[in-house]
Amino acid sequence: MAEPRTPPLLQVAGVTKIFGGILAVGDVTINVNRGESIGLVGPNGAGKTTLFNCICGQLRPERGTVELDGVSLLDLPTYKRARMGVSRTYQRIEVFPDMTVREHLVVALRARQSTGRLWRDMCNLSSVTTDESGRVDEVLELVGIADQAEVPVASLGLGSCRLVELARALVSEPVLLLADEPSSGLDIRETAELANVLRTLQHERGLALLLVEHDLGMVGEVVDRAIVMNLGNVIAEGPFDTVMADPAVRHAYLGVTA
Amino acid sequence: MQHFLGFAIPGVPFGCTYAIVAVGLVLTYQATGVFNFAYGAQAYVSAYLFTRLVQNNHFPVWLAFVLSVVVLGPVIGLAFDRFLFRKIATTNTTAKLVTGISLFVGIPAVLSVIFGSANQYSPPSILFDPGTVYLHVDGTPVNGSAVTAVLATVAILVALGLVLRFSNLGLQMRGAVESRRLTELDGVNAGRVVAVAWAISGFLAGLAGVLLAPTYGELQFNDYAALMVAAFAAAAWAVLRSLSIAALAGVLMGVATTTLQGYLPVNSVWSSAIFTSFPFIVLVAALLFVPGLRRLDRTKDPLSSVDPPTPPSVSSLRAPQMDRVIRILWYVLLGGFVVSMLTWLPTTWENVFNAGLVFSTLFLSITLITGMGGQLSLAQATLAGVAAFTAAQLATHFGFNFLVGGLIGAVVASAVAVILALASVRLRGLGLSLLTIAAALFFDNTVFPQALSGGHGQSISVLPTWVGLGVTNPDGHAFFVLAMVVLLICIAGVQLVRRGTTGRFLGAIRGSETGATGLGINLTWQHVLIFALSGLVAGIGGTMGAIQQGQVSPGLFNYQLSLVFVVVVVTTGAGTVEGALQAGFGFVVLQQLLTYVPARFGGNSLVVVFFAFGALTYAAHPEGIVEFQKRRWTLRFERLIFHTDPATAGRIPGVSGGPTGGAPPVAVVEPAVGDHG
Ligand SMILES: Nc1ncnc2c1ncn2[C@@H]1O[C@H](COP(=O)(O)OP(=O)(O)O)[C@@H](O)[C@H]1O
Ligand SMILES: [Mg+2]
Repeated sequence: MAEPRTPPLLQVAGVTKIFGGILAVGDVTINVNRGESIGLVGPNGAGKTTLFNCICGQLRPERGTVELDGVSLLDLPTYKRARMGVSRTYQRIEVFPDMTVREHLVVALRARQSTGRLWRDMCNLSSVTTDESGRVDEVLELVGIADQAEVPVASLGLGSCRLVELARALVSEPVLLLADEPSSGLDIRETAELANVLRTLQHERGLALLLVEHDLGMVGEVVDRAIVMNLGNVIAEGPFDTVMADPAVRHAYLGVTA
Repeated sequence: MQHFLGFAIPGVPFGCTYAIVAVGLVLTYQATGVFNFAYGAQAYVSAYLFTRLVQNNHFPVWLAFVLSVVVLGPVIGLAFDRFLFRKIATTNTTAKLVTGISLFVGIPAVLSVIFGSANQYSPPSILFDPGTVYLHVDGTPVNGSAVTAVLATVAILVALGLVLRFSNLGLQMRGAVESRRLTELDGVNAGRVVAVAWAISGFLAGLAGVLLAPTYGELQFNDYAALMVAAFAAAAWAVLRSLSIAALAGVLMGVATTTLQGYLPVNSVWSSAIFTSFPFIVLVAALLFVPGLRRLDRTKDPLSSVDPPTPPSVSSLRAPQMDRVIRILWYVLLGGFVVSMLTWLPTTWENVFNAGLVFSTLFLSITLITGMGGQLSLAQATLAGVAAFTAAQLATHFGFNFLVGGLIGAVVASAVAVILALASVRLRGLGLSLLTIAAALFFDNTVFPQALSGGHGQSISVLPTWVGLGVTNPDGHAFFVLAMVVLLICIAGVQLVRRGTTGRFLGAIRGSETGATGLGINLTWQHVLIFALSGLVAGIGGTMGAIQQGQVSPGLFNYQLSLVFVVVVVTTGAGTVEGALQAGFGFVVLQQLLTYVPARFGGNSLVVVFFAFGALTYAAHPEGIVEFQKRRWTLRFERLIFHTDPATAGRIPGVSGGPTGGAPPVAVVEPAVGDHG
């Protein structure tokens, strides 16, 4: 991969997070360029989710910096980071059980644009516009859950909930998507479908993607570059195939999965 | 020094009971993850029975003690565990709180239904005579109740400490609250550990109850509510974790209270209010400054990530045809109601329904804060009172029209609500409920009496000249028209917020705070916003209530009413406007119907018992048991009349009687997942 000319979209430098003496993320540095997709892999407990939390603001790292487009994110609350175009999905799903799939996407659209004005509600100006429902339909179609649009998510399975989260994250047209194990709970066909969607997004919308995933086959299909973490540290980085051939990586993985 | 001890020593018995109650609270919380809101009621039951057995039935004191504390205390604790809290161990904080609050409200009501509402006087002491001075500490006399309290407290706490340290029980308890399932994987019977904790804490409640009793001449539930808030404060400083800090904080608070009281000017408002306002200040300080309290609701079971998504609360889907039918029925009902009120209904019932309109308005504020905001505020009656008192003051001193003053008052109530919201920004669930009930007690004891103290006596009458429009004329329908219009405006406002972006955002926050902020929703702003709206509506309701009652008095807006309101609304459905209306009318109509029943059946207490039982079902039916039943019947009619597809019905678990009824909802819709691929 050639040196990028423009500065990276997301710059994570020296991020360290400690939980009561346990180093969850230790001095991790990652750059993500515009439109680039990176696979973040590693055994359970490697610190991948914690790193996501540091980027999105659910956690504050002890050390290090996180910058988006040269703007430091560390002092911004989560919701402001989201409005700057950082979207994510969660390993432990965070859907809104009372709402239908469509409502999830409407909320996401409005939250990103911060158009939650009380006076609009009071003047009954808050119904869903045709423009909004057009965008919602488009994303539902893309992710492949259009037929479940009116279903309350509480009655969906785990796999569908992950797709709802993905659609919800995408509808606000983020510049950076952090996906935390999006394929767990999906079957093989759905996973292939998902890989397809992620590739399309990257190619057509120039979305930058940071993908945490245990299904290495899928990661290989989607990403340009892979970063391997173990016990809080980055142990390898580079093109997917090269990285996977690295003995240190094989050791880290076999230590867990064998 | 003697001065100081003279003030401090009378505080010791209070401190001891605070300590015992705080320890009991922490113990249950540690072992079961439940913050037992009903704890004060448990203490009251034991004290009540103890006193009654001694005074009315002439039991020897030791026997009464054994029956009411050693036997009844643990039995109540075990019953709570077995029949209530065990079933809801995995539900959210709100459900546990509602269950506790229902018990807190329901238990004294049950007592007065059973034993009548006559109070018990001069409760006896379990060991030493309260009237006798047994010793002097540095010249300060120490009477029997103080000696008893100290001895009993020290003995019990030392014994408890030894048991927890030198048996496996302590360790297992700590394990049980971290993750019941993990503990069970280790081969520990977590259910038994939890039951033991409930039994011990039940005993402690009973003990605290009888120790506190002789310090008052008359046994009153209010004193136990105040005891509980004091214990909340002590437990809060212990971060609901450390038994020894809880005990220490309890004793210190008791001592500090009487000491402060001693140095305050005698007969000042503050001197009498210190007993309830000092715990409030300590509690608020803890909520604001003890960082560990903010994380209480967020600690999650490490195994919970393997759970399937939360099961659906009953979906509110109904067929469009059914929607139309119901809407038409509502309009017919509304029309019939208005015509009846204006024509043939007797004045008694017109008054009852007027009160229903007022309560419905007030209850809409609970729809906002609890149904939409997902937070339990225990100060809604207080907010109503803030508006009413403001209006009364403006009318008295500046000659404001009461309606205009009420609007200003509603804005003031909204501002008070915003202060509560800002103070609780980092708190959720439990912390917020504690903060609001403490605020309610503070207003009851300090602010409202102060607002009266312009020579008004017990209440301020709402003069006809204040209101105008003939609203206070008992023979006309002006009040009805006014209350109806106000209610309709409030309903429209609430519906607009509910259906609008704000409603959607709040729905998202209720579903998942993490998910909602991750999308760009500002939680703090939404939190403050819904408090402000709720305060506004509560204030409007309060003003209307004052006009309807013809007076403004602290008794109309006390903390107990706030608790009762929550229990009532949660029973009929906090999530919908219909729920608030059902609550408002149900509450007053039931009260009126009970006036036709002989008083010995308990009168208004029976209404409270009724709704308290209703609210106990909250964990199973968070949408409200009445709402649940209504949807169930609607669904049956729907199927009968429109022959709708049973698959739609299957989305509502446990509702349809058909073969799919019991199946998890996933099974019904899941096949569709494969279709899109
Ligand atoms: N909130 C937390 N409190 C304490 N420890 C945590 C917390 N979150 C994660 N950890 C610990 O941090 C480490 C990294 O966890 P995580 O980021 O979830 O790993 P991954 O997502 O790679 O599986 C693990 O050892 C985990 O136990
Ligand atoms: Mg993870």
